[in-house]
Amino acid sequence: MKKLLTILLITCTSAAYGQDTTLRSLNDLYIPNSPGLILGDKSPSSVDKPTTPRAFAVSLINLAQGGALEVTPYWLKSKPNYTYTDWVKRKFTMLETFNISVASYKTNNTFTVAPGLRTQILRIFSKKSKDSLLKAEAELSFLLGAHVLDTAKINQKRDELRKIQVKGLFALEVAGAILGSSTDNSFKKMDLQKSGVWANVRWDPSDAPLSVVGLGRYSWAGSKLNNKSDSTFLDLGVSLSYVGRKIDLSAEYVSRKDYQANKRYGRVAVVLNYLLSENIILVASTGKNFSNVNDIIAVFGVKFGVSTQKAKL
Amino acid sequence: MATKTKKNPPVNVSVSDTENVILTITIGNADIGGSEVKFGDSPDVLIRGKVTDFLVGKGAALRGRTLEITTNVLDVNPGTNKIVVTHDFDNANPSKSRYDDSVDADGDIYTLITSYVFI
Repeated sequence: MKKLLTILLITCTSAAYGQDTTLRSLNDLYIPNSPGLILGDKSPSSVDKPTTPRAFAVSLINLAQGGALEVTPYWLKSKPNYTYTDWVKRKFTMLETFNISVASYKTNNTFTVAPGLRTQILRIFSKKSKDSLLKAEAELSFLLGAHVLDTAKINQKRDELRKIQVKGLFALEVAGAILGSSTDNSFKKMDLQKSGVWANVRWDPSDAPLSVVGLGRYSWAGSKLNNKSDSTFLDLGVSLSYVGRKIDLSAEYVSRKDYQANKRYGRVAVVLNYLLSENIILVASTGKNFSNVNDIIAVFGVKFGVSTQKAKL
Repeated sequence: MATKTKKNPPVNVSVSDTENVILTITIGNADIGGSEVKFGDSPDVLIRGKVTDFLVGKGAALRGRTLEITTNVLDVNPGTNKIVVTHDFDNANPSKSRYDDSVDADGDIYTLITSYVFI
């Protein structure tokens, strides 16, 4: 009986992790950090991040041989009067966060390039978060003014700062990317094969353990040269996360309009974590993928496993 | 968290006998920093942390003394690893000294050691 229970437990745990990974990979409600690199469906071995205008120009030239590049142009030139306090108080952060990412791949016959843009148009911290950030900044400044630096305390305070920076704010981000391919290495005959546009609204109230994300995404794949369209989707989604002392609950719903099939379907995913004790978390997950036949992507079940990691959407 | 240290040669700063010299240290590029300010001939720290409109003293009392400033900058800006620090003296010449450098990675600390000789 004990052996049977052990096998059952291991089986359940493995199944749970498998399904949770599926759910996690389905979560597209956050804009990708580097849209240009994402659209290429390949992970470049290294991403060039130039810090000067000259280095940026060199990186662009190097892209012709294949590679990846990511840059935030605003910071290519130092801003001596732009303080951390200015950054906290600023609401329109489009310039500071405007990020360009480009990936290129070269084979014997084809040259593929995928440029992408991303920026945070608006970011408003709540008064409580703003006050907390400025207080943390003052504390860090004092620690950094010490004759002998206490790096452990500085690290701890920096971690606190990072946590405050993602709570108590309202943010609007947009991104876009295209992917083109050429068989003769010329831009003239570049065939547009993929494009995507993302818009993301996030609200993390400082007084509640909640996080709400809304997403709009348009994606297209095909061949512009051949006037062929393989898929065209418009996704509208919302995600809600609750992080309590013992319970974490994440849920998302995405409605998809499929222009090729002229149909609309939805996807739903829910993950619940319950902290039973310090090292034991009970996980329950369920979901339904995009499909016109209502495919279930994870059968509902309560999974028991020993883990220190919480499953997240 | 790595630390990069840069020590600069002393800078001569001319002051007038009757005017107050006021110091402001600005950490740019949206990073966070703090400074320790003291005279070279005294172990006493004049100010620590953020330095804004700090009264260093009257020109006549400062002449011949050296002001030592150590500024530590924590790179918290994910958009750049560049560091820029400006030491601004009111009623002194040169009034501004700007220091540009960079760290290797986000979260690194840059230590800038400077001294100013009042003449």
